[in-house]
Amino acid sequence: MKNDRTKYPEITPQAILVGFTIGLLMTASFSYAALLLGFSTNGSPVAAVLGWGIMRTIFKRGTIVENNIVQTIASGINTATSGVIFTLPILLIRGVDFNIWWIVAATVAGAILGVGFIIPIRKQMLDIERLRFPSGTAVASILRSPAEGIKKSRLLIYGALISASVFFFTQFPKMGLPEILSDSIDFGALLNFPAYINNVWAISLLSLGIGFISGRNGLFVLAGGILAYWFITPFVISLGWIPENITGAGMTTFIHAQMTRPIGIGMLIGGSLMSIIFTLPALKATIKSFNIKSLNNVSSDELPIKTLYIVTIAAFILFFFAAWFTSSVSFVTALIVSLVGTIWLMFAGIIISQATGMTDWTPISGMSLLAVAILMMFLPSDQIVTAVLIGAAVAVAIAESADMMQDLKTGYLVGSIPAKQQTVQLIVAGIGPIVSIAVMMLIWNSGAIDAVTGAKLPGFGPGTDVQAPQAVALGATIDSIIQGNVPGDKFLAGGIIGALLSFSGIPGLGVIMGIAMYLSIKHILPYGLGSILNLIVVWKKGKDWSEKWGVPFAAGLIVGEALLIIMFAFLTVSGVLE
Amino acid sequence: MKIFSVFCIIIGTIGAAITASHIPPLWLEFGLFLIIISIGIYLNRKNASEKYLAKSNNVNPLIEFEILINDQIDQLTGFIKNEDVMNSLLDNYKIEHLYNQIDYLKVALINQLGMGKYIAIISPCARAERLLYRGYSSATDGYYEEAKQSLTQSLVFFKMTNEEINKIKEV
Repeated sequence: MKNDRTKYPEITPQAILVGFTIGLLMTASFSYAALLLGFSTNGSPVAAVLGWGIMRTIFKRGTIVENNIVQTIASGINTATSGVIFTLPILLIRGVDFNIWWIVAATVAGAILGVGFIIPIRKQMLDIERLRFPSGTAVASILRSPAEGIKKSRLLIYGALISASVFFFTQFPKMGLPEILSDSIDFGALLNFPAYINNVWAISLLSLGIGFISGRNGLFVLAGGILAYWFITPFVISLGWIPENITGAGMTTFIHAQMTRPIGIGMLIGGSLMSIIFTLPALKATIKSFNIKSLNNVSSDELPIKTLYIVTIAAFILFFFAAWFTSSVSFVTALIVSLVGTIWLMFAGIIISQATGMTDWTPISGMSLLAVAILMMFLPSDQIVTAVLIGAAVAVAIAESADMMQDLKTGYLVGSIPAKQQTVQLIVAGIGPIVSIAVMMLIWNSGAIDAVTGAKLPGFGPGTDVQAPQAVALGATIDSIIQGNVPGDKFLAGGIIGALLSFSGIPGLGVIMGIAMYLSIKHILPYGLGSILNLIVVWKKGKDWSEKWGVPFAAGLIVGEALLIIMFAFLTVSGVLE
Repeated sequence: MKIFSVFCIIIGTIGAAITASHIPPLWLEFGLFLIIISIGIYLNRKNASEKYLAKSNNVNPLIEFEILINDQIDQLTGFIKNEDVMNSLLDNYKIEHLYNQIDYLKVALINQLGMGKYIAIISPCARAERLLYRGYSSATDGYYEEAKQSLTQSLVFFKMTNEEINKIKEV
């Protein structure tokens, strides 16, 4: 038995240093990976494992709550990556003039607002609604397992080893080795399905693990995916509802872009709007409870609500100046745009947090596209800098909101003090956008010199090795908006379905199915399988058994693949892999 | 009834999503499918409410919740009184059980009490739960003073939850 020690360490210099270092490394590598491949990933599970290892081996310390601070800081820095890389590169690719410092200021403001805004939402989503936040639950399991006995640790390690091995084998072609395991299996082709019935399964034990922890909600995600890809797509094609000039693979792309994706986003928004209405009493009670200073000599462990007000006003002012100085819009337009941006940010923050809490998926690109679309309605068509700038700030903010909620869920389960987590994330949140923008500019300026013309070539974008796919997609959407091709009727119809399904008695049904229709089915299928496995385990062994043994193993599956994803991103950044 | 209501919701959702996919959406057909979803939801909720009423003759979620909270109070009081508090906690407390049980009762409690009263009992309970987890984490890490303090505070909030339950029962 260990000796009694008086003060339980939570925020320590070592935890800050380790969290900061891991966060910077992850942000730099993921910024490049996101430019190259168009994806980013949740860094919390990896930060929890790396943090624990570094704290124990180098500093010979590390309590559960201290390691929670490590992962909070690391993911708080890293999470801004997608918000920056999915939006801002389009300004460089299009050759638009902009002041980089206002871009930095707006995204930093967005990051801080994203964390500040979540202050009253924490109580509502964690204490009252008790949303699952699968990654947050997995990270809590990771943080607890080393100290909770050898059996749980072994399960976590076995899960990580299996998942990492599978991912490693799928990456052989990237290492110049012959393929022995593909990263996906096309069951549709094996079963001779028509090409438009997408039945491709990603070989991803990470998705399976997240699905397992999500439990029953994963079934509704699966249902949403099946609705979009196995019902709507074949029906639309067989009924000939696609313009005649679109053929072959272009048909499924068209259906996703013009039909299932906007309907899905609409359902997500409609469902969330109803959830907000249903939970207004909870939100009201939450805000009211902040006024109670202390209860039975136990002081409040939340950040005061005035933090939210201060952060909101400060961010709004920064948005306003950023909008005003980066474009030739009038004072009034800049005021309207910054107000609309701030309001949308708050609304999108709730939607994203809810979606993440129920499914673990954070539809950042969809919400950013909507932000840009809404802002473009208030701006002249040539003012894309302002729209992209505020859109980027919104994207960074909602990513921070979702990450903060995941981290607070972890904190809930390991007994961290919310105010401490919120404070460290408020302090570090602004670092992520700065690092990510720096990496973006570095890569942009690292383009080669054209041998024929002697001109400097761009470092990323179409025609280069680094395609920046998400930003290019945003550019295409902006063009559609300018040309008036926004499928507003699909958003509306989806919104009505999502709102109606919210009355079904299944919490968040519209939100969950909407997000699934918006995503690629490749990852939904293994995710759904994980959820089915969970239901079988609960049925056979009981809920407590599933939580005690199933969740650590599933957390291991998440960590193993996530660790290798980051390792491969590092190897790609350093030029070892192509 | 249950199967029919679920069937209506599924068919209605598929139909509404497909008719919405047409360019422009087939609003009339879309509206018809929305009606089918609404019928399904109405029947499903009616069925759930009847099932709940039948079940509540035997089991009362508030009473189940009260038993759970009292059990926590008894366990925590025992741990705190025990000389070897922390070993007793780590060896005997089933950390997953409380979380799962509250989750299990959540919807039934909202149905029974309404959102306002549910918030009144769940707010102190959530605080107690978090403090209990803090006690468990600090005990695991060997910080026994912190653990004892957290468990004592947790006990305060569990008792407060109990008071809220009693207030509701009195009404």
